[in-house]
Amino acid sequence: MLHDIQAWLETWPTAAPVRDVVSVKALLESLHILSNAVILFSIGMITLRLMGLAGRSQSAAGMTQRFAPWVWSALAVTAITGLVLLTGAGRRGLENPMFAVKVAAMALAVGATAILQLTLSRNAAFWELSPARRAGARVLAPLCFLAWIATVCAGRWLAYSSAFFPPAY
Amino acid sequence: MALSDIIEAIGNNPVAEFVQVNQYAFPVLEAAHVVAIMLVVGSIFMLDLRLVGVSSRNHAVTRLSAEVLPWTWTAFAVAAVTGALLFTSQAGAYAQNLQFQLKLALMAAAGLNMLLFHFITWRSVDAWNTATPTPPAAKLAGLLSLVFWIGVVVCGRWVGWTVSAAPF
Repeated sequence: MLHDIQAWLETWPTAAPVRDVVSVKALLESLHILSNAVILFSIGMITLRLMGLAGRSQSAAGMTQRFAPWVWSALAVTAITGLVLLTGAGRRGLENPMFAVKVAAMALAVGATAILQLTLSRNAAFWELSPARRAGARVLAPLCFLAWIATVCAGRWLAYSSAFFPPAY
Repeated sequence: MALSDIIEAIGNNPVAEFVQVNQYAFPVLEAAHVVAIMLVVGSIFMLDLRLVGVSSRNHAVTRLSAEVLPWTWTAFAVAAVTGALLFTSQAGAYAQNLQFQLKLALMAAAGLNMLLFHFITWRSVDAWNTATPTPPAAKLAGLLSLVFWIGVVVCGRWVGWTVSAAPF
């Protein structure tokens, strides 16, 4: 099925320029990287605040509401550039085993981000109401940050599947 | 000693050989380099956008920079070390690569912009710390920084598609 979807993506008009024109590919990838930079730094700030390590002049909820719009709009740019890049990705695309790793890490990252934001938008003190919740925040926040880092690493390693998954790939 | 001799010496050191030979060394260093660069530009953009006047307008510039700059410098140190190690693996080819040269030039420009901002514009920060709009010199510094760092990322990614093993 992945093969069919990848084949369909490669019928898009973007497929040829992304695959064959180095400048197009490099610029799209740069946009993909820049939007990820916004996400990673924003999550990093939220994480440090929830762990009580930085930004104490602002509440955790305030910090999260401040950075959340950046995270979600950057995620939209990442998704669009990622989709267009996939159309010209060929063997680096959906059928690449590292892509599954990237999607798994991304699902974890997006899920954890959504949980942090939703809980804090409903109740600004959500993660401070009990010792268990405080401990929970200290686990969930760094987990979220690490999941985003794992997403970025897996993204970069799409190019190295032959080293990471020998000899199947 | 000519520049080419220095680059050849870098390419011949044992660390360079490790990065070349170990199949995981390059991908692991490269991923760390990318994560570090993302944190450098993500944090710098935050401050730049405040200087330009686009975001964080209700946050004092000094407070924002105190929040952001530890990220920038820590991540920059990681990016510089991993970048240097990646460079050694094909020193000659990188040194001759146009995109790599442009990337270094843009980093130098970003550094110069930062120094000018720090030693000239920043001296009067107390006068415009919480003010919007920010003074033109601060706006210009923020805008230039955005342009230079976006250029660094674009050239950096481009290097990966254009560098080729050269016999030097």
